[in-house]
Amino acid sequence: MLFHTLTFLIFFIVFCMFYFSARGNATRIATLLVFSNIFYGWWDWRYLALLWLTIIVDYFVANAMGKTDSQRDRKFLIIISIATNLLILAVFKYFNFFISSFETVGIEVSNWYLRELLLPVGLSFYTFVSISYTVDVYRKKQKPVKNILEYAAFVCYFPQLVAGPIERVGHLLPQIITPLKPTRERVSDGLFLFSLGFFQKSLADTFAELVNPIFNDLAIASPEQVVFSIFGFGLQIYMDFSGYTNMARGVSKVIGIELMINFKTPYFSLSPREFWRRWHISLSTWLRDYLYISLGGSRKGLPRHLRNLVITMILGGLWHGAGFNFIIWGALHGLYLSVDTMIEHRLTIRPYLSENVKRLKLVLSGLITFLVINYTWLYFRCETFSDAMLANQKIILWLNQPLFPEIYPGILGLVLVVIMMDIITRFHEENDYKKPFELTAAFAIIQNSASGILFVAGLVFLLGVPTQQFIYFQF
Amino acid sequence: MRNISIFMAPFVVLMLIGLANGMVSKCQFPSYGIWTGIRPLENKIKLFDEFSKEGAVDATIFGSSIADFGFSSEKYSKLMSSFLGRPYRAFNFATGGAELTTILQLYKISRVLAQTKEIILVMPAQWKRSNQISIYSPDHLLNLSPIGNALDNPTLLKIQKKIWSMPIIDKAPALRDSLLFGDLTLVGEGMDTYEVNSYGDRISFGAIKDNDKLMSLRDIYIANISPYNELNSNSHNKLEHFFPQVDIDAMFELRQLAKKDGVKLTIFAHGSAATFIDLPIDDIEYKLARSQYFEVMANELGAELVMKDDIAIPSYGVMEDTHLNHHGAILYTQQIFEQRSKSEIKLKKVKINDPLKSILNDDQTFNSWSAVINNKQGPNKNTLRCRFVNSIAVPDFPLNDLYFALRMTDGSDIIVPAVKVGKSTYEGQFDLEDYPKVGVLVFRLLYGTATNLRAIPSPLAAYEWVK
Repeated sequence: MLFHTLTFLIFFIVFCMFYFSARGNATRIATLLVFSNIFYGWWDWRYLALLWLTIIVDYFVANAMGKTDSQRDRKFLIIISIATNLLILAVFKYFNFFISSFETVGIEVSNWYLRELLLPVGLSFYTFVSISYTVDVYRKKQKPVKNILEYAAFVCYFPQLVAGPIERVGHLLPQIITPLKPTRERVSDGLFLFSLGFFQKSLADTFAELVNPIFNDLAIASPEQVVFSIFGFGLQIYMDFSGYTNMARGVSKVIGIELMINFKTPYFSLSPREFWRRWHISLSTWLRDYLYISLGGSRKGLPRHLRNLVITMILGGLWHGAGFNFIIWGALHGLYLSVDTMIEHRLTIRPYLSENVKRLKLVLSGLITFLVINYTWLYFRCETFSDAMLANQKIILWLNQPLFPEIYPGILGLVLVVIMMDIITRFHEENDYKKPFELTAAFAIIQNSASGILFVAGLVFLLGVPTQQFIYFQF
Repeated sequence: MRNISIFMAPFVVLMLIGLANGMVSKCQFPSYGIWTGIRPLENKIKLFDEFSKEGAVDATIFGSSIADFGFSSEKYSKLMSSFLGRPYRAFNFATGGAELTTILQLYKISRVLAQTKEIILVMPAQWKRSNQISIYSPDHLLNLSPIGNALDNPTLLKIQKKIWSMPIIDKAPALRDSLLFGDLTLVGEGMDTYEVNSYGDRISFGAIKDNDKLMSLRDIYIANISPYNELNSNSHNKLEHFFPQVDIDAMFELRQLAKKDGVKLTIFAHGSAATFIDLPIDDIEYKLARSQYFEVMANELGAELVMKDDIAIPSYGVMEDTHLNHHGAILYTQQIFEQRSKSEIKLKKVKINDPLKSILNDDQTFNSWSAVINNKQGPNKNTLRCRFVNSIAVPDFPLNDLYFALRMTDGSDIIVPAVKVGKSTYEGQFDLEDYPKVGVLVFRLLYGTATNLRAIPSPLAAYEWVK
């Protein structure tokens, strides 16, 4: 069930009734576990089997690792955990893609496809959550969770189960065991976050309505339509994912559990590296901690550093989808990060650059970052490689003769709204993140009124637009 | 203040929704049909809601567009009221494309709005369809729409109805389009060119021009249905001969539901217009198949069957090969009522002049909106008042140079100026005293100069002869 539906509202109300009236930690955790499974099983009850396979394997692996100091045994156990999770991913997400790869080199494999294969919702997210837990146990950064219900509640925790944020056991589990009390501040903040996310989702669906006809028929779209639709998709995916995360965070906050922030005004980034500190933060930190660092990180010289960046981003691209376009998307980001790293490396040995040059560099950096990041969305959105190439041809045509499509004032207004929301968030981030939050009466009235306005505005924009599945649900 | 500030959020939501509801309800925004995904159906739901508030519902008619166009609930209500000696109210809930599976869904929707005493299925006998639900069918659209989640839960359906009926929700897409694009993105459909009256009847006055083509199509309808062999068919075989499993399941569930609600089930045997035109079909195999079809259906539903083999509709009552127009609907309704009530209606003798024979194919004063109207003109009623359909599918009329035209039996036209007397309503004065008295005439709305007149898109919603 999607967050922005009546079904979820009823589900959440019933959940809160049981959860807040539960006596004792054990009952509360069991309630959370049951409702999380209902939430997940609502899509398809068969998905629960895979989820519980992951939970059971990783629970026992982690506890086994906790009982032995033998490095050989621990290594064997962690391989079991990682292999199980990756095998599930490989079969359900990547098998047909790998088969199709054989076809591209002329090998006949049409009978090998696994037809009618379900891609379980949230598979990529909960397998990464599980892997992060067992690897942390292996690295002795985390003690094994003794109580299987607590561990299962952590993995299944419904606000983040199907599309993240990819939480870490050290951050989420203590809160599940001992959640914060639902104070006025938290409920007020939670409502606001949810309403903001709801409004963002409505904007995402509106942008989708505008760009989908272009991407669905690139052959007849004009060059300027293609170019501006790429930016339109950039806004769509940002609003969609950020909106989902905010709804998840809002719901979780009401329960008394803080989920990590996943987006921090990414399009205001001044470099690709900064972009990845601000976009899908839970994924980028996961890739850094469990892939990039495992490959060696930046420890063994610049060439290895750059190699590790590219490999990490290519695999990050593949995580998003089983397709060559996603590999290209990842490779491009790897390339950007590499170039950014090399530029930074060279600049550090030239400290004598003037302030004016530095300022110019910042502005240009910001603009170039925005443009190159949005360019990569082309590969994310196009369904096939040939579509992506066709779009590139249109871009080249546009560069030769830059024209602007007709844009309705209302659409420009929406873009301004997105920019303003980010500016306000950025201002809030730079000024208030350092201070503990205190709900004054005036602020509470403003925030809660804003929640109401955002909710109604989201309702108006969302209704009548063909409801788009959250983009990241497909991962 | 801090303590209660949290309640600001729901308070603001309620306040804004209340304000927005008030404002939006005053705007003439059309509904986009976002609750069911089928705009004409949502219009019927609203009409049925209003209809049920005015009194008890004696019968609700279900069927496809054949019933939507080809059955007159208004006429049936009047005939039954007169027959029973008390007010009788029937509503036409038929929806284009509806099959038995859809009718089940439609009933589930209608029973949440108002309880009816009788379900009347107005259906044609047709070939056995596929067991798959077509992606173009109303069933598919209903399942994809928000209402799809609530069809099996009357309580949830009622809650949904209340929420989705709120102006801010119902008109949200139109409001959004106005804010974003400065205009509506709603595209007019064919159904937007027909008015639906307060009894749910969809009104069309168009009529077929090419009788010969219709007769050839009639042969196709006859060939498409065949009888089962009585000797080696059990009851299950008989069902399966005509109906796919999805329809059999739907009939079972509809019967259970009707029984639970204490509602009577009745079937009025209808048909594609081509099977009624001018003369009834006398093909023995077709008549047997049709009879078997409805008997099997009636048996499965536990329904009363009302079937008349010799229904004939003159060509002026036929819109095209599938649908009757308003005149045909009234004639069909009269005949089926006669069959059911076993009473004879004294039908007025209408001199049929086949008014469309004289239309030339290249006559630009005729188009698909040319309407067949009853000639009730008289000394005290020489003004024809016409109201035209006002919808997004009908372009605005020109401000001037509009004319009414009536085609006479000698092939000539009487053309008079059309004077606007109200919203989408025009009048024209005619003097037909010197012309032979005929039952029906062909009417058009024309635009242009005296020497260059042409018909414009002008679907007729209603007309009357006034003083």
